[in-house]
Amino acid sequence: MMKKPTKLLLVAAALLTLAVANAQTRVNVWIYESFSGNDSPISKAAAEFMAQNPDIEINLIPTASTSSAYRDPFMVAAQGGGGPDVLMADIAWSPEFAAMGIVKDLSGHMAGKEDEFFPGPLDTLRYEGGIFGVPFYTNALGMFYNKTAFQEAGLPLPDADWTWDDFRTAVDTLSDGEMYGFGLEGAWGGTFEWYPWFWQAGGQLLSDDGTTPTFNSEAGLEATRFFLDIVTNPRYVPEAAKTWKGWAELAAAFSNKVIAMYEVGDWGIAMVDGMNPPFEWGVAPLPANGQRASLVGGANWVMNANTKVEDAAWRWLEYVTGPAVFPLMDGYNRVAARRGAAEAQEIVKNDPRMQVLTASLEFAKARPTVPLWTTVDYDCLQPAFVRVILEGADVTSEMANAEMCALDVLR
Amino acid sequence: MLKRGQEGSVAPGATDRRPGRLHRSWPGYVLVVPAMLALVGVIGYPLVRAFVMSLHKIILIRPQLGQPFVGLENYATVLKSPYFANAIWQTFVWTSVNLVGQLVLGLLIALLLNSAFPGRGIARSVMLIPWVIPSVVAVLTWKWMYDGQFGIVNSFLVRLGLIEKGVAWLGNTGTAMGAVLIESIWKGTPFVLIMLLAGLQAIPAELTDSASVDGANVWQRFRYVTFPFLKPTIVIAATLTTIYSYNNFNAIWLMTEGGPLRATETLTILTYKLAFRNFDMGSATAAGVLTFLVLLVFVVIFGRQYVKSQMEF
Repeated sequence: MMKKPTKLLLVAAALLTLAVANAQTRVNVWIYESFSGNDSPISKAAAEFMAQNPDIEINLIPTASTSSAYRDPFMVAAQGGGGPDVLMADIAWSPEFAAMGIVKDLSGHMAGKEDEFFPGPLDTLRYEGGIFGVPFYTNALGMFYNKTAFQEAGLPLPDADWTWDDFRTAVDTLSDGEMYGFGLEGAWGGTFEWYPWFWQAGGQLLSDDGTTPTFNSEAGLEATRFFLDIVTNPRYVPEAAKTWKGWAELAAAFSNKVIAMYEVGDWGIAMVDGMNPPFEWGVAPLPANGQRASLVGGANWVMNANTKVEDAAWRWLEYVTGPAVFPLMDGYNRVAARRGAAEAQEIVKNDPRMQVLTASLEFAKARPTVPLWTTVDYDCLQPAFVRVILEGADVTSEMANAEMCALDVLR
Repeated sequence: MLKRGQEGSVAPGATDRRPGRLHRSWPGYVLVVPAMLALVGVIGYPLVRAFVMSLHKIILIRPQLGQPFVGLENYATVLKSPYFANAIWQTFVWTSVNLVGQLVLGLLIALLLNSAFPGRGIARSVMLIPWVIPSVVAVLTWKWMYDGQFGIVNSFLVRLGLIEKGVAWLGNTGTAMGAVLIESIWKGTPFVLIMLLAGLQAIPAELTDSASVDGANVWQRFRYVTFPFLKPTIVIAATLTTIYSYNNFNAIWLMTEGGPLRATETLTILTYKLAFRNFDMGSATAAGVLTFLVLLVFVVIFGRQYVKSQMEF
């Protein structure tokens, strides 16, 4: 039978544990499901953080990362006064959350820290003078190409100087009946891949005040005609691409020599490597047309406006986007949005393909940070592109329709 | 002569209004209160809240506008939209083809599985497989099967010589709805099949045997013996299939998101887009209320049919 002093000691220990547990501030953190796992890099980062900050408990909550399973439930929860304290969020969602008033303006916390991050990702968080989050990781689109096919066709390998004409010649040459020269996420109309071409032609999507669409310009038409001329050519792009809307489909098509090139970011490297393509392949910057451009992607951290633990939540954000982000992002084969990533991250230093994509960040641009831009993309641009692809509609009239539609959305 | 159900003191379904009845049965009412409260909480409150929201202008990304009362303006906006008319038509096609396809196939297979043949038990189990597969898994599998480059459907059709090269079934306006419907009918038929098979097994064998002895052929046995007995079950199956198909969001969203060019955009998809792409909660809830009212009409019609079939029976 247990002696009385022993019992007292056990009770005291239990009370102490309880007291310590109660003293901890719990921060509920939503992360993409693909980032989760007991041994995942972010779990290790959270453990490291908690070891350094014993008064804070980081509760990682993996959540499926599609819009309908992640963004929408957060919107609903936050509108109802609930939701996690902080969450990872696609850069495209940040202006929407800011406009709804469901995430905190972190300008005060970010004072003096802005220069620590790449400007492109940081710009995605700016809304009406505030900064509504902290950049986490970033990426830029590049061109994955079948090096073996280029060499066998006697084409020069694409490099930093290749142009639209070089690209068109390569697509035409590589489309030999067995293989298609190019592939894209056609179910979305290809607008995601189109943005860089649009900027390379010198186009501007919106007026400076963000209220008027300006994509139906001479530059816009030039880029759209060039891009859709290739996309609508059944010799250049497979019919199946009309329904592709996931990167796995494109990686599979590329790895199986169905397509010779496609636009994608750093997340595509592990995908293609994992499929063991039976040929040599490489990554090139997107071709230029007088000027270079690419599209910024990635994720930010945002803080729920309803959080009751702002200080603790900010300490976590400060840690997870600080120097600790470099080894953390190495674990996910992604590039941190923090300056110095190219020098500090092993995956960039050791992989020339990552170096090409990281260098593209220098000229990569973000889509407009107005909250209804996603609606303009879905409801105006995508249908216009799909009508051109499926019905052979005229590019000029469709761009005019898209402009009218965008005016209506933004009004 | 007493009609069926009049043997006792109170006909089933009728209300006993004798004094003291409520007093004697109060424990029963108390016991159902928690369940009723739960139903009011999860069904009643959202319905009322959605209706109230539909009378206000609520643009999530413009909180500075507040949520002013606008009466029926959201309904007018939704009803005038060409997208709503398109969604009504797509919903009609989607629901009616699902209903007819699942009922006809379910009935034919149920009749087959109700007859004796070797391996019937295995056949019954196999037929349930589509129903037990999680809908997301089923949809994504079908999506790959339809793929224009790698899909088994195209591979099969090319080998049969029916098409020359792969077709993007989900990527063309003329084929997308048909392609999604096939998946939906494949997934939903086993549920109808189970219900009808249960209904068939409840029909006394003596009746069909007697009809055979009297010289009735297969069609006559089905028309005059099996069908009348099965009719209440068919009505229930039709009601549930209509409700499920009408409200089905997963299949279409995961395959086409309502595209291409709104060719598969049903009312549920349109409502979702209004809410979470346009952030217009006022219009979205108005569309949701209209969607609910249309469904209510179907449910009332089927409900009356069910009562009628019970009375006939």
